[in-house]
Amino acid sequence: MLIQRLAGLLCAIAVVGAAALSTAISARADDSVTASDGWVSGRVTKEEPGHNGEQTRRTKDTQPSTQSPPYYDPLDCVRPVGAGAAVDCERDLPEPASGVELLFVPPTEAEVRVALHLPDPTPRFGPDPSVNEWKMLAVGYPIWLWTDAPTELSATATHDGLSMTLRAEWTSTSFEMGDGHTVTCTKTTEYPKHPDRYGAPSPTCGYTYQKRSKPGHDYTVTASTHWRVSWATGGHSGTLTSTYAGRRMLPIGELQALIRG
Amino acid sequence: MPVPRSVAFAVVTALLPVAGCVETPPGPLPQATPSWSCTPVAGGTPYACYEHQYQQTSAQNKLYEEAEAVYRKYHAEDERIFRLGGLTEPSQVLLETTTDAYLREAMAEYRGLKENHGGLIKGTYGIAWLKPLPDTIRAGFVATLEVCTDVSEATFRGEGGKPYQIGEDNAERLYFVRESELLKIGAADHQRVKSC
Repeated sequence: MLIQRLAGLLCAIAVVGAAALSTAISARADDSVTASDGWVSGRVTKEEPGHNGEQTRRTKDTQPSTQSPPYYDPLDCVRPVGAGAAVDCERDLPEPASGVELLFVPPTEAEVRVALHLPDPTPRFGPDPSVNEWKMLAVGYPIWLWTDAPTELSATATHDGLSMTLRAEWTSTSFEMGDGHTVTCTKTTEYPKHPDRYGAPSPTCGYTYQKRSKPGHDYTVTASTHWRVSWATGGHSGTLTSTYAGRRMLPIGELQALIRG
Repeated sequence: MPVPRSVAFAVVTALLPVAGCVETPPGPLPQATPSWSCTPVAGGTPYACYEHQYQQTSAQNKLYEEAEAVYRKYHAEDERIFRLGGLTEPSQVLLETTTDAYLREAMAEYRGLKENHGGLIKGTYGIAWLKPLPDTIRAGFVATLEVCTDVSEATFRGEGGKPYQIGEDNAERLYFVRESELLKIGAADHQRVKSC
């Protein structure tokens, strides 16, 4: 009887591990849909095609710098002395009043976050609890923690009418586990498709619950991914930090073995 | 006599590699059965769920119904402003439905219309489709909607009074924030599409 019970539990755990693979694959597939290319930061307008759109912006290849009037990148919108109104800027810079300096306003954290399309910060667990029969993980069982790659990103956006380049580097992720504990990791490891040993802790980032969640009150795990963002626009540059957070509910139960002798 | 949990767990883990998987027997874990019906926010077939899942899903459904209502209100105002030929100061509806970058960008366009005597002169641009994206929430925002508006057939007046048609449709991802209890559009991404 004991052997039968143990075999049942072993199978349940094996199912968790195997099914984590399929969930990871399907989650990746979903991500690729939501992160599809072609999205441009900012509100859509109803301007005439070609008036101010991405597709009709001139590039240096099509506007040789030797021609007259001289070529000026409309994205940079630089108005050199003597260029006058012939320069076709994306947006004309206002002429400063005499004795008044134009005030440069640096980009905000919200602005760069929207432009960067940071990867989904929803915490991921290994083994994935959503694929086992009870939709939960167990007290005392090591859980691997990570969030989606990549860890480096770059993007181009428009800031105050000027082109701005952005480069983001992931620095760490803090996992608030919902039971009062927080795990901060500067490296994470995705749960392997074929673990060498079930029940092995993550080599970089993991957690083991000591208490089960109350029925109907799953733990809320919040992952806050921290990014260092470098920006450059119109001769100015700087660095700021950005935090992007995602949450996921996680039921934690207890595995109990009943011994009948 | 019950065996200590840690001992049982260790035994289970150690035996795992040699376990033969046949049929999963009923385990001693939760006995509750899902007796509620949850409707996915992004659409789909209702599924059996537990009460707390039902409550979470219901709250999210309510949020997205509110987001859709906010967007429809804004969209109607946007069309009204285009027919008017722009504005210089935000209307009450704009203030109720938009904020931050989205409001700033909208006002820049409306002021441009006013200055250049532009606007919508013929036709209309309706919402072709609208879908919640509950899995694409940006930090600092509470909801994301993706919409597609059929602007290809509408006729606008541009600079110098020249009429034009866009010939393509507009897709937009709208990021909503909660501000003083009002749900507002705070930011967006967009792209032109051949057709909604």
